[in-house]
Amino acid sequence: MPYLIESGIALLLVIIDVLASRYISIAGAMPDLVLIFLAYIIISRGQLVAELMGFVLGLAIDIMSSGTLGAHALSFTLAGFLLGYFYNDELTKQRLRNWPFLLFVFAASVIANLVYYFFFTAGSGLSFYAYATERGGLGTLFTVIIAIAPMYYWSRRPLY
Amino acid sequence: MRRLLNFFILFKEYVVLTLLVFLSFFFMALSRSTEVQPLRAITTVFVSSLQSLYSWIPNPFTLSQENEGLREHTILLSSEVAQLRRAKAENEELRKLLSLKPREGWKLLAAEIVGKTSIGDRNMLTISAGESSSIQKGMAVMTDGGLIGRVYSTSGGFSLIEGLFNRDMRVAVKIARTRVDGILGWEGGDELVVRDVPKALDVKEGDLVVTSEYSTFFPSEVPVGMISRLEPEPNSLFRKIYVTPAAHPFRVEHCYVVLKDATLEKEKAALDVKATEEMNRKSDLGKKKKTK
Repeated sequence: MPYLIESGIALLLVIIDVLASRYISIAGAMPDLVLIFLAYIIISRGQLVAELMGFVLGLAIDIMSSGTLGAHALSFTLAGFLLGYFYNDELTKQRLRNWPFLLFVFAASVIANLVYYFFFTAGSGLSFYAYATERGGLGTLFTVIIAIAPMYYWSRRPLY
Repeated sequence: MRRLLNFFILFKEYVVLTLLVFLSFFFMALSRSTEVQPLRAITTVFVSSLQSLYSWIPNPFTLSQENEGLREHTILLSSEVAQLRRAKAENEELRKLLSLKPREGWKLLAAEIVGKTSIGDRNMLTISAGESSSIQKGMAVMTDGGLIGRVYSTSGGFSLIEGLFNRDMRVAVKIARTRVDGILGWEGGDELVVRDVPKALDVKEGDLVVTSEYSTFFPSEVPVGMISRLEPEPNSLFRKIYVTPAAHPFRVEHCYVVLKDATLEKEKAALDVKATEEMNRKSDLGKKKKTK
């Protein structure tokens, strides 16, 4: 049942990410709600589930947004895999309720953006500095700010 | 067999990662192929249908910017219209004197923008007209201001537009004043860039950039934008030209698709056949004279 609910939430976030970008973007950058969910999966489910979920969510974004198929799938998979090394079952709840959650969101966003840049954007002539400041950097900051909301929600719930 | 299974269990994270990376590259290779076009069409219909449900909700930031732009544009246009009418009459007269064919007209189809998607460095628009309105992949999309993109995929009642602010977008353009050619692209930010233009060529800030007749997708002479600044490329004979787009794809609510006019295409083909026949006839006559 929890997996079913999580899958439903994931699908909803993908749809919001693709459809509502027009309303939630500021200066061309928008928060990546799916990455916030991926950070939650990394913290609560570990490396294997995170990389699988990253691939599925990334592919769903690629399909829905008519982007390059596999681009987000690859970047989210690698983010899930790399951050999965820091998974610790005993610290799950503490991490979700405190700043480490924001750190995971930040790291996931940075990794996904870096992979996306080096595989898909670098060849287009867009400089790394321009990408980091105008799109990736602003988007990451925006994502981390939005991630405060679920962190606050979990911090208000009983720990055990 | 058991040892192999143990190996997979022991290194399952790495095995799964390898598989997923391989799958990602496989999908990337498939991305532009015709096999995935049906999938694109289905997702276009699905996403567009959802977007059309809430497209009536205005985005206040975009609306105010668009209104401001439109007001300025109307003032400019009203003075330009009078000048253009005079120029058109003069142009037709001169064309008659030079025995040139009149320029082809555009057949435009108005459409409402029902969705705007910005994921990574791909900016897409969804419009409320599709195959049923004779829209085809690759057709140019513009507003009263100028070019905003081209049709990326289309389905029954909707089309997906690849905006100018897109990593893969390339447009053959020229500077209207001096006819200097170049290829326009996007490197991030709010400006478009024409690269590798020799420093010696006559290009100035404020020059109008229009589509070139060398373009396969776009009709010629469509305004693209104004040159905002020129930047020399270090240790090179070339420079970059930054262009402020005449119409920002994300600040418009309506657009026009430039339909390929079948009658015009037929006329063009008939003229080409006529010209070839005429050339053949002349060469035959020349040969006969020589033999005599």
